[in-house]
Amino acid sequence: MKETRRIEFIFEIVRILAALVIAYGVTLLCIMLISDNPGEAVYMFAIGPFTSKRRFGQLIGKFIPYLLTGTGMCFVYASNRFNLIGEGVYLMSGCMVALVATQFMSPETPHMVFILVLILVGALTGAAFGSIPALLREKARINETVVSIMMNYALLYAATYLVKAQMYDTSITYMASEPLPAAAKLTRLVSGSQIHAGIFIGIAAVIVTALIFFRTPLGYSIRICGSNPKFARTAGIGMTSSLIAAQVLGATLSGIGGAVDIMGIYDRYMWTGLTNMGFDGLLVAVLSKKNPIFVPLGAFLLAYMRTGAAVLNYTTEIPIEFVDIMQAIIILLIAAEHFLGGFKEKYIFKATKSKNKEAAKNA
Amino acid sequence: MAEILRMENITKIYPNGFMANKDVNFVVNEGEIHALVGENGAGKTTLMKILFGMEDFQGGSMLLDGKPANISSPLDAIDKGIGMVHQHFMQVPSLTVAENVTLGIEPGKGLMFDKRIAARITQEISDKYQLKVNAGERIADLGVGLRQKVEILKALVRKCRILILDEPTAVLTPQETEELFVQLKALKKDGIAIIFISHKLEEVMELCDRVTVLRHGRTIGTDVIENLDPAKISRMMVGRDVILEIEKEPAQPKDIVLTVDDLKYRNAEDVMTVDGISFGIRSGEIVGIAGVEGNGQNEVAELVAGIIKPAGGTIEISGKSIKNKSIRKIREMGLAYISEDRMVYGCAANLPIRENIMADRIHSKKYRKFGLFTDTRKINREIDELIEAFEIACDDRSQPVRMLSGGNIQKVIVAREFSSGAHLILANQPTRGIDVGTTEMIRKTLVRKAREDGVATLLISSDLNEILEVSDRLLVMKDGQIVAHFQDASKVSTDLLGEYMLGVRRMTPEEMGDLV
Amino acid sequence: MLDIIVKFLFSVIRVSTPLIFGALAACITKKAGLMNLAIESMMLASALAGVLVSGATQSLLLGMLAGFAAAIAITMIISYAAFVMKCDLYLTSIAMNTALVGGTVFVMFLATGQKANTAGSIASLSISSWNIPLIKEIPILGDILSGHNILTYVAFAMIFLVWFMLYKTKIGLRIRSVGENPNAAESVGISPRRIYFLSFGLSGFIAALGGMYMSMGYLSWFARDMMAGRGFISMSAMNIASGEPVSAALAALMFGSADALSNYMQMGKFPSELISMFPYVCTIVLLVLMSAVRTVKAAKQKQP
Repeated sequence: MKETRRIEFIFEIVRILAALVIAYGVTLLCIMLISDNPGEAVYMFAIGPFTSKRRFGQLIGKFIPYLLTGTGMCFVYASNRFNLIGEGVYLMSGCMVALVATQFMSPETPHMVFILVLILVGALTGAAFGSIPALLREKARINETVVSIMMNYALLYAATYLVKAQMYDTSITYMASEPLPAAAKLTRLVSGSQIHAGIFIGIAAVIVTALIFFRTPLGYSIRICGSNPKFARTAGIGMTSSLIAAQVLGATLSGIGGAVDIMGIYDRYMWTGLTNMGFDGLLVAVLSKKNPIFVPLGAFLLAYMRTGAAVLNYTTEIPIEFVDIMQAIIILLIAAEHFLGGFKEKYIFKATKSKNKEAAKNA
Repeated sequence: MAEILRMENITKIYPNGFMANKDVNFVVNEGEIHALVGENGAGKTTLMKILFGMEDFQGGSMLLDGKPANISSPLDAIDKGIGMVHQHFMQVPSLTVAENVTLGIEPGKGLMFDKRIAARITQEISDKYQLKVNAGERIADLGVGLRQKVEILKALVRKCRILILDEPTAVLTPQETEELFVQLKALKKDGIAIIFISHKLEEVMELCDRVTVLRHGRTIGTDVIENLDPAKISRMMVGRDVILEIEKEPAQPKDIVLTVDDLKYRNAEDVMTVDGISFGIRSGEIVGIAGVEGNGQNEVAELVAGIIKPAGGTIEISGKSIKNKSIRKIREMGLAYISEDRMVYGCAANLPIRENIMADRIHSKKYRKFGLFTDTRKINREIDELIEAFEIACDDRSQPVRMLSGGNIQKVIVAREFSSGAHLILANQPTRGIDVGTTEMIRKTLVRKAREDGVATLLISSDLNEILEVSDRLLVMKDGQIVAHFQDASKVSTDLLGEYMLGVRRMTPEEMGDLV
Repeated sequence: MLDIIVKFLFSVIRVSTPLIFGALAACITKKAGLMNLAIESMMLASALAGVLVSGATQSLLLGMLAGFAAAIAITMIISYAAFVMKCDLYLTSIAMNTALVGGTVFVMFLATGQKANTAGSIASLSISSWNIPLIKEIPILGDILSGHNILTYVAFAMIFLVWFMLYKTKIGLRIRSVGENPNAAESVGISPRRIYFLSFGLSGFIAALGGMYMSMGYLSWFARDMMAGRGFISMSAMNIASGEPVSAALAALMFGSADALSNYMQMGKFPSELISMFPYVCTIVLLVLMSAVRTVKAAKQKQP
């Protein structure tokens, strides 16, 4: 038995690595084919993010919200619901934070109070909007994927409307809110980089999520419901409440992510399209196999890839978008049950067979 | 009459090592109705799946019209003139009868589907064989009896010469059954060979020309109906192979724990599968329910466990009704439930042993720390104790259940249900498909819990060994009703039990006595 | 005033065209029992392929063939990943959408050598408009119905074609049977997997028309993320119509009206964003209503 488990574990790692290697290989090959200076391009993509404080800071600046949306999507994904509301609430939370910070709070509010209030605003926004698809799914059996995608677009337009109607800064040429007061911004930990205090919130989210997952009744319930709902019901687990909780908690974390991102990186709210952060969170959850403990790894990996692409974008002529293709390849390969699945079965079969032979010999 | 099908020395071993058929011989003639009977798990379904190309087999040979035949898929079987009416109809509800009948062989020019020709074909066949259905009606609007006719039409329209019917009367009313028999006899006159799988001996006697009996995967015998009677068939079907003795002191029943009164259940097909049954179980005793599967026993278990809701009657645990209570509440009232299908209702295969055992008690205050968190140390200690006590062969408590063998998975489930502190245990087929060692351990534990801890136990099993060895009192269910009650299960012979299970005999209320 | 209404109705038809194509594409997979979340990416792929190839070859036919090929290629990748490699279909579709938003920009760069959000520099061909001979003479009605892009008329014809395909042909019967009970279909020798591939392929073909309408009819260039959620609006039109092509097309027209209205409102004081929200909010509200009706019906059935 131990053998089987070892093979499964090794194959999981091999699968993820193989997915990454294939995606990376395809990408590097593309870069080499299209670039006039392939050596430099590959260098920029692979090593670029680590070559300066600013670039590494950019990586961490992406890593922080990924921690939050990634843990959020872990909740959703572990409960086996395909609820994508994380995308919409991310943006709406950013907007609400900007609204509260610029319109309803005095710029003189003490820094810590300001930050706490704004994070609470983000969390509540996430929970409020996140509860709609969750309730509709669990109480009325309405497909959560459809509702959440519809809501994402509705929230995008609503946020744009809020900016225009409530906090439009007419002194600038593009559409954005008035600037956030200094007290509302998260402290930069390393000057001249995007590394900000939000990283503590991100790490806290990972720890809290891991605790909820593995050390609370709710976490047990969510994982059991997600793994086998019929068994969960027979064992007397309150499914409706567990599944609603999972989806709302997921949205809440995404909401905090949007708030932290706005307060950490931006001077004002200026998102005019979907940020894709929710979908990226899903990728982080897929990379970390629904386990919050692995979220930092997944989040770092994605942040690294995206920063590499960004570095490549401004140092060479290659546009940043190729990384989206790479991302899709990784998702497909990791999520595909049958990718390398044949090998796994073969090895397990072999191991079991040789073990049976041994047992027969001993008997 | 010419021989149409010969299956010789068929042996089927499933990948998990289970031998479903062993040297089975089965011969069917043209124009006969041939009953294939046997207990659940006797290998009838496997044999028919092999014939219909749904399963491969390891040994033996198949001949159609005396020529060796290799049937690789259902489509292949259909091509060779074999039709099967499954217990669960293979139909598309929103389509019409004609569309369902011609699906896969749609008439029409080129890409077009010609509804009129489809309706005509359907109507012609249905007129020819007196299977009266309206080709234009939607399946969703039809009753079960008509839907079954559509299923037979589907086979006939594909020119089948061998028609397999898997327990066709299980879903029918007596009138519909009568009608079906008339139609089957008409098909027989047309030279079609019919394989009739059934548990209902009176039907077999009425309808069939020959009978083949399977038991534990082997052929017990084939004979013409004239040489048989229900009691004879029942004796051939029901029998014990190995006798495992379980030491058991006499029960000393105390307070009443479970009371079931006039319980009724109506299933999705609107059939009354539990039809007004009443019984009680006292602390310290094990009550078995025997019966051919599908006679309402499983529904009784699910009703008591709160998984399905009754159409009438009451269930009380220790004097309190379970009506409108959630499953968690019912479990908190003292119920433990080992469900029939362990992979679907008994465990979460991808999660560790620990999570699987904790599933029913995770909300209990007993395992809390600081109000909110689970007391992991305590949980781990208890899980380790259970793994040791129930001899679960595993690496450790964090191993996913799916990596364990079937017997060990069942041990995990049993460890959970036996350690929940329940005073009422519902064991529904607790040892099905499990190795001998684990089976013995589970049976002994059931007895020990009853005797030492005074647990009231309801045991539902189609394993006659088990039901006769383990139970103190024994009930027999047939067609959703209790048809027999034995005060001492150990004094019941298998022959007698079989006759009650198969409806050859039935006790009067006076004979049954008090069911509590 | 009449003039404005005529212009408005004309633009409703104009902006509804891609939604009708998308909704019809979604209907086909829905009838096979699958939700198609990837219409957005199918449209994007065909929009770009059509522009690039017609620009390079100066042949409209080749351009359109390329458009079809691109969308169908996307559907085949999705089908292979989901039905052969057993990847979650939703996840696959979402990954594909994300990949295509970036991927099209990347391909645009490969073709033009510039980083830009639009491929205006490519001299692509466009599909022409058509003044319907007799109808254009009719006052008012002629102004509304005539003079649209040819693909708009194709879209309306397609409503009938899809309905016909689903309800009158052998393949339609098979698609519907697989969608409702794959086991039943399989028991008579129909391979559900093959039907899934086929329905996704057909879906891609129709979505391709929508994509090419956007880049070669509605506009005459390709722009980054130019579908802007139209694939999802189409999907919701299908959803509230439960996959029925005619009702789905009507729902698409309704959403198109909202879109046209928001274009008009941009000129006025009323916030256009709130109108842009309409299709999405409307879908959710309708889904809730439909679910409520279902519940009431079920409750009634239980108490005869």
